[in-house]
Amino acid sequence: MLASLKKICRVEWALFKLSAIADLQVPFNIALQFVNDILWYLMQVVLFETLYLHVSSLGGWGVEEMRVFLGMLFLVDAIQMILFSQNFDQFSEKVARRDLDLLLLRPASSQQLMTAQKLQCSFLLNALCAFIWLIWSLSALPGGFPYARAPLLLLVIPAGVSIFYSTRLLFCTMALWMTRAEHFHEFYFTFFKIGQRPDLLYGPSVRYLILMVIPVGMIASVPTRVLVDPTDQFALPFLLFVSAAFLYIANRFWHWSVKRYMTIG
Amino acid sequence: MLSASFLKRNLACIKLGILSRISYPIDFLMGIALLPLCQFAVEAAFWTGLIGVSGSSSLGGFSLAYYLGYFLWQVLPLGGINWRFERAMIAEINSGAVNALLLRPSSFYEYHLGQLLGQKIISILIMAPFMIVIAWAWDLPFHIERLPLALLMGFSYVILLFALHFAVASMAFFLDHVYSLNNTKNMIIWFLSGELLPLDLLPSPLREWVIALPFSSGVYLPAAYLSGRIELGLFLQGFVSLAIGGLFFGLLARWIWKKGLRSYSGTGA
Repeated sequence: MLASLKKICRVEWALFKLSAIADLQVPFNIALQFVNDILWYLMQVVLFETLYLHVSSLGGWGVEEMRVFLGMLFLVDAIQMILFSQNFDQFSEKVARRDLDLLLLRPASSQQLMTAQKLQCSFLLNALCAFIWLIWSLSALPGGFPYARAPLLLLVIPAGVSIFYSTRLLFCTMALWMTRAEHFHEFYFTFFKIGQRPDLLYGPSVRYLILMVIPVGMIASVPTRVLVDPTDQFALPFLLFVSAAFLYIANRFWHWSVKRYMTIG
Repeated sequence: MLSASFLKRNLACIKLGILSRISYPIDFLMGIALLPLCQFAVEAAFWTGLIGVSGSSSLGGFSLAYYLGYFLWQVLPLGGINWRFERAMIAEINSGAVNALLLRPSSFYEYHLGQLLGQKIISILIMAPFMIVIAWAWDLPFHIERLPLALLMGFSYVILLFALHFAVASMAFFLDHVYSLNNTKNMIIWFLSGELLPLDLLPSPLREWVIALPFSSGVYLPAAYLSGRIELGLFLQGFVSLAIGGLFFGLLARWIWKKGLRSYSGTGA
């Protein structure tokens, strides 16, 4: 287990260096990618700041808590943009082009090569901006944010990223089952849009869907609750359990689909 | 004679757009029906929850029904940006596949615009009844008599937006990575069109500035007009900004294309 984890990290580091060299060839593109993500952050900020011009509280959260939520959303999104996003964007195309066949022959995890082969180093800057926003918003909370709770960030951020990764993988793996699956990818982003808003805003059935079935609500909402609401003892164990469970389910589904893909040929 | 061949050629492109869309039934069903309905459901869930937890029955002076009526426009794919379509245009220029089209007696512009319109027509034929049924079943503010004008604005906007897409795609003659520039453009349009939130919620004077731009004709003006948030006067102003914007982006697209084609031919294609 530890040996395979070390191998995954070693391969990932090599892929990171290769990707960084490739990205640095096109500095204009790096700048635009940075700007694009900042624009996306800005849109989300405009949406909620505009809404708070008309209301004082949403589901018990004031504008300060909402800013923490946005910080968490931006940071998790930036990390997944660095590590996985481009690979998932091209997933269905890669399957259609039969690039997967070659990856299956290599002495490394096919899941890793399919989902984390090309990293986007330009988003490191976005991750930094998102992290600064998160720290600023935490410090601006009405009761402040005690430093003793800061280590929680080391748990909730990876948990959010892991849920993002596993839910995207589940959707993308559908490409192994059909001729064209681009819309499954778009379908995921429709669901992710629900996760871009706090789960407290939704009714019970939608909350059940986004917390238990397709847990996009766990990407930023629940991690934020862990940070802003110390009285919620249930949120952290629930978040860790769901992130581990979905990582396992996504991995099993991948292996099962690959096996079927190899049988069909 | 020229106009007859022009019409025939463009009708063929529209037909091609429709056929290429329906040739993969599951993909077609997902893209045309399921995805827009899900997007509407997501917005409906969000605004319902938002107004529910805000402790008030309205937001910005409008009740929940007006918000649902507004976002119902998104069931029709007229205001939304079409990332896949633009990526295909950029890929054709990047890969040199554009050569095959340059040799034919039709233009790259009309070949893609025809297909895009074909895709929009088939989508609307399928989704308009859904929109009407949802409005009727949920008793939403929906002025059906305003639909033809709203659709006219929607199609005019598609043509304007295509000119802008075409201008950005033509940048692929000069730059290796245009995809990011394309994303920047789409991100800005996403906000300016009113797809993110109804533009009348924005604070003044930002609200007036954004509504005056041609992009508001993509979502805000037709959706607000159809749901009764705005009246005819403001709606018709959208056609004026569309005409000015269309002329501007059309000329810009033409200039970039011509310039790009010259440098492309010059490098040995």
